Amino acid sequence: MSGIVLLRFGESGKLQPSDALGNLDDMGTEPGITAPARVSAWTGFGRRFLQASTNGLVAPDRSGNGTLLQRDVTIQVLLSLTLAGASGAQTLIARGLNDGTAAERYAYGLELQEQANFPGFVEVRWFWQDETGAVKTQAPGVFRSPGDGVEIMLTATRRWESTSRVVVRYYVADELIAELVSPDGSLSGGTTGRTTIGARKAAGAYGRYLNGVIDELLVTDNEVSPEEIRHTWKRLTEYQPGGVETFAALTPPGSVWAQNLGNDIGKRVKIVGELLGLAVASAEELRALLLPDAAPLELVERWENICELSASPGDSLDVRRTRILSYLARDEGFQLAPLQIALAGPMALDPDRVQILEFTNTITDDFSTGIAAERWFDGGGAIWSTSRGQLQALAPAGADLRVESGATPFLLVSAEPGRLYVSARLGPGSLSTLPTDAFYGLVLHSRATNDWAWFGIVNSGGVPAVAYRTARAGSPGPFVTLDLPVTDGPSWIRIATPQRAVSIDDGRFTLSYSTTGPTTGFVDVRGPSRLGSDWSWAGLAITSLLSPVPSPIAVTFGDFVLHSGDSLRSYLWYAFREMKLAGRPDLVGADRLVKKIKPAYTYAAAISSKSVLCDDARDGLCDLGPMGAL
Amino acid sequence: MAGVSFVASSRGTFNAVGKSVTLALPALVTRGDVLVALLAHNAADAPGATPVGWTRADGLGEGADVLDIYVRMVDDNEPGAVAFSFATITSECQGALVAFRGSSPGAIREASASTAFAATATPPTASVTTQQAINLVLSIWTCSGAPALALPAGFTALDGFTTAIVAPRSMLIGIRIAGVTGPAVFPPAVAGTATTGRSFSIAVRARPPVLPAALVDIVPGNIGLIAKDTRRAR
Repeated sequence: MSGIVLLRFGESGKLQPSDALGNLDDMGTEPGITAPARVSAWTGFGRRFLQASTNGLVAPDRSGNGTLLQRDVTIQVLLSLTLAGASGAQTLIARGLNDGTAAERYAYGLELQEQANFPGFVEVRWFWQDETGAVKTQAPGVFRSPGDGVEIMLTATRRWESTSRVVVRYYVADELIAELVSPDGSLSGGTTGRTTIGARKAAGAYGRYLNGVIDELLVTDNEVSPEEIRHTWKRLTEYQPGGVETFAALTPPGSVWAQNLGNDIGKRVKIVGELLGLAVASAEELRALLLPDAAPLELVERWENICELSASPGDSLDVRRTRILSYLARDEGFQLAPLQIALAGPMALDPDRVQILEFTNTITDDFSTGIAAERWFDGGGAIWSTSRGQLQALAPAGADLRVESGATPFLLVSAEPGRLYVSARLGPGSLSTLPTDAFYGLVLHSRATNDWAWFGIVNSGGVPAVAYRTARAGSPGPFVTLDLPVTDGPSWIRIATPQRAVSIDDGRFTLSYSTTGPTTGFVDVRGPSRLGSDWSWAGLAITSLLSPVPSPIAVTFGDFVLHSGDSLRSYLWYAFREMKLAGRPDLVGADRLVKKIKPAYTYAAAISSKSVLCDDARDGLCDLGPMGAL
Repeated sequence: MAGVSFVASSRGTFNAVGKSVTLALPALVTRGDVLVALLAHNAADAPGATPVGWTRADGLGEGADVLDIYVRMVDDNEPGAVAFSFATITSECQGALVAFRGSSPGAIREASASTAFAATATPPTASVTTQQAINLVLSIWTCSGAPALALPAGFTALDGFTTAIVAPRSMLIGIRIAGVTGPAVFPPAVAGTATTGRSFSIAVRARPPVLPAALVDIVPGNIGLIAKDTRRAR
């Protein structure tokens, strides 16, 4: 953080207060405000602002727009209030005079007010103007007044995240009293704006005068963290008084001159003791704020450099801390539980809700839970549904399902070139309704070459038969029927390449058929010597040689198995965050963490969708392609 | 976290024969959470004994639209469900259990209010006075019949349902951050058909506003705020 304005009010009563950081010119008065009197305060001297006396101060920037803060800002003030006799809102600071010009809009401001419905309770609230000039007063934090004249430390922070989201926090002492999210992210602020203290100017008239004493006031250009505020409070109330006590205790036993801190020697004792306490506080600050769980912004940047993490412009301090902690908390090796724990932070979930998706090179689907849209590619032309754990394909009478017409009534899952094994169950009860010249069974497809291969059951002129068919570059050949008995009970079919560890994808396939079970009773059938290669899709299909289809096709499938022996799926894993769950995840950070954790031979990513979602034409509009996350 | 946060809720099960409404402990509830039981019933159906460990925090409404509020803190041996009994059953009874984190049974209810409505498709939201903007406002609408009920803008739905064991009645529950102090006024809910009933709003808080610690020193002259410039060296 960097201090922007620091008003100590320690000047002589004959001098105007000035900004210790030099960003404001000396503070003065103008018509509508009178100078506040110098009074004794906790740090030495402060200024007493009286509503009745219309006290206030105003100053232009000395540095060019040095106080113009339109994003993050923190205001910290040591003050005491006098609620007796006060009324209405009381301004601590306002950056801008709100004279109707864009140059004088409030960039930020902080005000106090005793609650009308709850006497003795005080609201503290931010205000600023948006780009239209409308004053946006924020929801307040509330605290109980400690009594008139009692000095306290008050801190308000503002974190701008977007034009529709600003996070404001309020603290008294070191205690967070409110954190609120505001939609008023359109922040204005004048390029020549002046800053007022103890009063606020609007439309040329001063008002909202403060009734209390400001001891010190600090404005910084960042959102000060709760840990920094806690440390400041401990410095003021623990370390520095402790230093004074320590130094006083070093005086000779029995001496009294150091016990009275109001006399000349005692004042020197106090000065030395305060400095001693300040040094202690610096050491304690290092201890309290060094590690990334409580590090302030500048240290978080260093931690990010150490961990080779990068932050996005809108990332809050909390998000950046969590990202670092997650990175440091990761375990070596690929273990699910530590992965979930490490990702719980950036994904804003309990660890057991972080889904780690892993894969094998075998895809099985019994359709017991419906048709997973992320997995299956529906070519259209047929209605695919599930009922009682069976996949049903339906095409109405009159439909055109011919390949020659460009119809693609299939349900495909992506396969990978190389060794292939695909099988499925057909029926039961499908043959009785299968129209003449209609087919149902397995299908392979290469989208690159527009090659097709079908293997299943065809009603060949009223005689159901096991058959296959191929198409090269979209030009289909005839169905080739095979001399095998076909029943209306369940049948199982499969297409398999040689499964040896070293295999050449030369188009050799074995077609098999069984009426016994999914793994038994298979009979290899006489197929073509070469069925084709580089099949990138496999699945289920219906089709017909006739157009239109004379009667509806209604067939069932089940027990689908696709095994790609040379698949890379085993080396993929994804950390999935269900976005329907509550929380504000940091998916960018989660993905970076995954990339850091993953073994080099794997591909991994943090994802929020199990489907590829790339609506942008730049990405090929590839929404239809499943990403293999099932 | 300065305020109270919502954890989970569950819908009650009405047993007309057993003359009780049973509320199951919602998932995700942990030790130290505060449970708020909402029991909506007809004033003619007097509540039975308060379950052991529960405290009756409020009783709102009258006639056909009474809402009793009970609170309790979850402990290590929290039962999976609690039954609230009634001396008699003449009308439909409904209930819900809402769990909050970051408060205590003695502080959680800051204020409450109710508003009756009759034959309207825009049931009003009861206005409740809240002292802190970080408070939550828990609003409940109970009404006769089975109209489709929709929450006002700004509310998050906890539940909405109709039961008809004795006679159809509907209940809608929503929650939002108060966002204001003083009397909080919200838009009305929306009913698919005109209905009669009552809305209730409860200001839910973590605690009363804090009393800040003071900077006390009889001898002024302390090192105060320090501005650091931590920008990187050029």
